[in-house]
Amino acid sequence: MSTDVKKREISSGMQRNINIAIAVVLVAILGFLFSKTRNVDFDAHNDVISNLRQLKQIDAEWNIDVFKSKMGINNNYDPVAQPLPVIRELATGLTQKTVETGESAELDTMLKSFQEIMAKKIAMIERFKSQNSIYRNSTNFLPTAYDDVIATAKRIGLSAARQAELEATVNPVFSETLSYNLTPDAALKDKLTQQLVTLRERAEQYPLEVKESIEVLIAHIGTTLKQQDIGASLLNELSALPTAKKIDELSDAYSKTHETRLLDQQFYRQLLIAYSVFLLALLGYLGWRLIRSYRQLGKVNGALTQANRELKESQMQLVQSEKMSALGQMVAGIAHEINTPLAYVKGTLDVMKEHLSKVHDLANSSHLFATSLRDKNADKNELNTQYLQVATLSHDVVKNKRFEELDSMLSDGTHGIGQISEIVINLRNFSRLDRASVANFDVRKGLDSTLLLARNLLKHRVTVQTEYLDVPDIMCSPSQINQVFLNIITNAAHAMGEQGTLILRTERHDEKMIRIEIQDDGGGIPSSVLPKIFDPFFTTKPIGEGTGMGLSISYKIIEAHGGKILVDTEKDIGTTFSILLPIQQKQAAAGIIEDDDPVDLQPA
Amino acid sequence: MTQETLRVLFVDDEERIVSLLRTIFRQSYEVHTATSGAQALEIIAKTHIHVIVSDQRMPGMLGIDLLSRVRQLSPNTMRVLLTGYSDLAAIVGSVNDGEVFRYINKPWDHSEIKAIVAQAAEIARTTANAPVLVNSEAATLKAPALASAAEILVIDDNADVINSITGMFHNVYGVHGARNIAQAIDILEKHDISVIITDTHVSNEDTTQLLRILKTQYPLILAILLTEAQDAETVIKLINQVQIFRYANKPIRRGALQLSVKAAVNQNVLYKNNPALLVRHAVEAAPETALTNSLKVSIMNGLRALRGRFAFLREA
Repeated sequence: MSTDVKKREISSGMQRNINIAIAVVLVAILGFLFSKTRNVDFDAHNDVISNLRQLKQIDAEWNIDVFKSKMGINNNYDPVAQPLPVIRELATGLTQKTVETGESAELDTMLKSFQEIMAKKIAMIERFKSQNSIYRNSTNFLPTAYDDVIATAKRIGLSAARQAELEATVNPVFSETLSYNLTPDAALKDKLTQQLVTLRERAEQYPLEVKESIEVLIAHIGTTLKQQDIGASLLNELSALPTAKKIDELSDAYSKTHETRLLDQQFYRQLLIAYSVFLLALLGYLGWRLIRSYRQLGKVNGALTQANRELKESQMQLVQSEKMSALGQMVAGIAHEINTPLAYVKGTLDVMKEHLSKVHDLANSSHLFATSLRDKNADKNELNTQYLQVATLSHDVVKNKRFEELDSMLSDGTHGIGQISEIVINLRNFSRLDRASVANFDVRKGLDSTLLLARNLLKHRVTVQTEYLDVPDIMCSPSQINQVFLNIITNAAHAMGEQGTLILRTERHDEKMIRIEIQDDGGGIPSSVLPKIFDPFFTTKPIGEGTGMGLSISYKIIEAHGGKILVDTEKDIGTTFSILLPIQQKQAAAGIIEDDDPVDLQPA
Repeated sequence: MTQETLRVLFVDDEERIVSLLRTIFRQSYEVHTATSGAQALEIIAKTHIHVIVSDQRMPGMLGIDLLSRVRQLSPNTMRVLLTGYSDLAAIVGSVNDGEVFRYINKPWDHSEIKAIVAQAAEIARTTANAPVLVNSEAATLKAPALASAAEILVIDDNADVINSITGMFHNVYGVHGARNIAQAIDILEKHDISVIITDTHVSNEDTTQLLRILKTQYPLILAILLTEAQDAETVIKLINQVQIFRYANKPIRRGALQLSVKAAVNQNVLYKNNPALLVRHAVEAAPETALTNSLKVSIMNGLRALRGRFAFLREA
């Protein structure tokens, strides 16, 4: 039975663990779905998109600024350098946002290539800036260089004709260069290159100082031409960089990803709703089960309460029936004990009645004879007949020893009545119904009267030995203690079977307790039975013969007296029940009960 | 006519009881007393005893065991059980094993005990040399069946009981079933019944009355009581007033019932051959008040037909 309980406990423990695991899984699924629906960060997405838009705009403006610089509309480079920090900041922000929102790898590479292109563009613009500054320097210096040629010719005192000739030679080159700077044309460039060669040849004809200033002019024009080419190619390259496209692509990709996310979110939201519905249904089902369980529990509890009450009632009935059964056995035994003396007292009286009728006859006839003898007129024959009758009757009485028999029958009858009264006295002593329920009691007398009651059970089978040591009277309920004695002695008698010896002992246990031992030499109590003997309803007797309440009640009685029952048993040797009882009971009624009306003890 | 001395043996573990009984009976009989079963058996072995009156509860040997032994040692001795202790097992034993003549309660009625002992002694005297059957279980098992075709009447309101008994015996005996007393009387009129198997009550009618009348008028028929009832008083009444031959408990134990029926049939044959023996099973005069008059009349009328059949008894 205990293993069953353990198994049930283990299985219920397992069930509990499984339930907890299921609950955790359900909550985890709920959390997962919930996080999935919360995943799409609209702010981040909007930030990214607006960043990209801003970038695109700045990029476009930048391009325009670059062109402006190239055209010389912008005289300083601030507009060209201005977008740089903004672009960097935006790019960095973009990267951060992307990392934060955990975008796809595809977006990542796109972002990287965009950044590379952006870096290239920045580098190119740097190069353009430096190239353009060289170009601008040379261009700005051209008029000065031209003036210097004219001034040098004038200073050294070149002839007016030669001066005019020089001016006519240099001036077209100078003006052509200026016009090329405004509209860089390949034909014009070829023409200029040609004119420069011609100019360098003609310069040989002029004095050294003039020649040197012409050569300075030529160098500057060359630089202008060269830088104009480089600037043009840089601008070409710059405009070829697909930054705007990249930004658009990136923006598209972002939007697409965002859309996918939105779709995902919608899916998960639906899933979450479905799951919530499922959970609700589950919860409803569990609630229903719980209610049903509670109802069932209530029902079972009711049944249990009922069963418990019935059990208590039936236990009370059993206690009662044990009393009745013990009483019934006792009554049957006592009836038999009384019956035997009763039988011969009655028989004796019947026989005595017969005898007495003979004596009565004798007395009557004697009286008649005596009267007749006095009568002088009495008939002799009559007297003779009367005499013969008296003689016969007296002979019968004497010969048959009727008086002796009467005497012995009288003493037998008295003996029988003595036996009956002894039994009655014992009964009275045993029950003590006519005495105080708690009294000073000599347990030896209790044992003796119990033995007499159990005599019917013990007679012819069991030899009883009493080994009483002097014990003081104890305060107890004699009828209850006698009940215990009778129960244990009855059990001992049953244990001994056909033959046996029952030993009763009394002794002083210690200052406060006395000890009573009831020892049999029966089969002993098996060790499997021993722990249960004081349990209610436990019996080894066949159904219907023992209620199993005897020893349980005995135990309670002794316990209520503040005593103890000890059992010592050995197989095939016998069993000894030892009862320890206190000499004094605890004073229960020592308190004083106050009356309602106090008595005035003071003299008036 | 020299009257033979009639010997009576009283057994009781209480000395005063036997001495009192001695006082009561010593003028009429040769009185022997014993205070134990063993002592009684010693006396039986040495002396022919006509009547033994024994207490039931005695140390060493119970009264019922003593009477069973006496039945085998000295079957002609009339056996009377005297006890104040109504123990059903003992009473049933006294029927089946002891075949006791009477059962006397303690304390006894003075004139009743005298009458019973006188009747028993007279029966013992008249049947002293008659043949007897020792119907112990072992003896019945070995004994040859004395009759090949006997008629048995089973009176029971339960058809199953009738059927199972019919099944048990129909190969050997004619078995008749009756569900009530009227049917039983009808069957008794038409058939020569040897053994009746019945319960104490059938269809709410007390069968004791039928059995008692049968036993008084037609003592050849032997009765076996088959009952669930475990009432010692009833069985005592049936011993004393009906002289039931055997007592069997429901549910039926086949072997035991077969033995009982065989013993009853053999006993019936013995009675037919030796009608004088019937006095050994004389019953107490029935208290008239106990009989319902109408029932009695109907039984008597019903049994009129039987009289012719048993006419030889009255001649005997």
